[in-house]
Amino acid sequence: MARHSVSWIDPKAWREALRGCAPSAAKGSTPPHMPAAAPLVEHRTVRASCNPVAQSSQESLGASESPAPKNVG
Amino acid sequence: MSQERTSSRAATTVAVASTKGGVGKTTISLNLAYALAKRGYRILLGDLDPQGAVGLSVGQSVSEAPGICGWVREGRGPVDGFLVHTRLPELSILPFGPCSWNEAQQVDHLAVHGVHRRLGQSFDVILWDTPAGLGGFTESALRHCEHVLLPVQAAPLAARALPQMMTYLGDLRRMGASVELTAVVLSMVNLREKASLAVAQEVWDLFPPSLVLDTMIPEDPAFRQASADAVPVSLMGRRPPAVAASFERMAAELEKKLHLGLDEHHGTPLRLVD
Repeated sequence: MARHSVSWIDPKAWREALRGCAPSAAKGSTPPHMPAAAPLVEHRTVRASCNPVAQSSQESLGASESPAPKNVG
Repeated sequence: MSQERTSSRAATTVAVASTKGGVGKTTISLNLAYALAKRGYRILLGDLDPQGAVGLSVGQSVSEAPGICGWVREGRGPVDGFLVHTRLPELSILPFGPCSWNEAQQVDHLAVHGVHRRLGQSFDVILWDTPAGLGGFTESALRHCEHVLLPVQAAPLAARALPQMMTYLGDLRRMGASVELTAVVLSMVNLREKASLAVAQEVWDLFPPSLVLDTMIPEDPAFRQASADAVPVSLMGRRPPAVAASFERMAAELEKKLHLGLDEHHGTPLRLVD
């Protein structure tokens, strides 16, 4: 598992440290980067070529990897 | 005076501690002590920082009082005479007191234990402000306190110092101390600043939600003004700044985490008028 970006903390060592100093809080807690519950709305990928709205929102985010839509007709 | 009221229950002992300096330990200790006292708890704010940060924060008379160093120097008898009473009857302060390097070395963990033993029945909470680092004074508090409140400054360096603090607390527990990390509070937060927000997010991600207080202490120039006026932020004139409310919320959160008052009040609301 990757280290945390700002703190450089290694999640595995962190869990151990947490159990050592805060055993009652660490008990039953979820390790870092593990969601506590399933998300309310599942993320779904919409293919840009089939959905002009999705395409325009990608453009507004500055995404450049998607192929440009072909002009038809 | 608050010391005239005694209870069968020993005081809850809390150390505000962090290995990193400049994270707001003294500011939090002072303002939290005031907020808890305003809620009716009998609070002793003890200073284990040899630079006497608590005394320096509230006035020259407090900073020049003999404090815990004077109590140790004079043979560790009754402590009451070394307390500084405040305008809130529920809040007393035990400053560090002026002393030489040699005298300061005598303020050891037995001194902390002695204060707990002598004043434990007279207060609901004994809250210790500690110096930065893992040195003797911090260790003295941690060896004899039940709870640690860990302020984490919303800055990358503070986040990187966290594992050291956690490991140190774990080591102390393995050596027989019963101290436990009870709450983490984000301090000097500026969520409009990218680095500050990133640290806050990482703290929320790293710790179990039950450990991180919902209350955050924002970065606010009001703290500098309060320091200049030598008062808790709640006492800055008739209309205290918005940050004063942060400590009221923090006190309410900690009241539950520290199980304060449950024995006496059985969790039922207190009536305004009997």
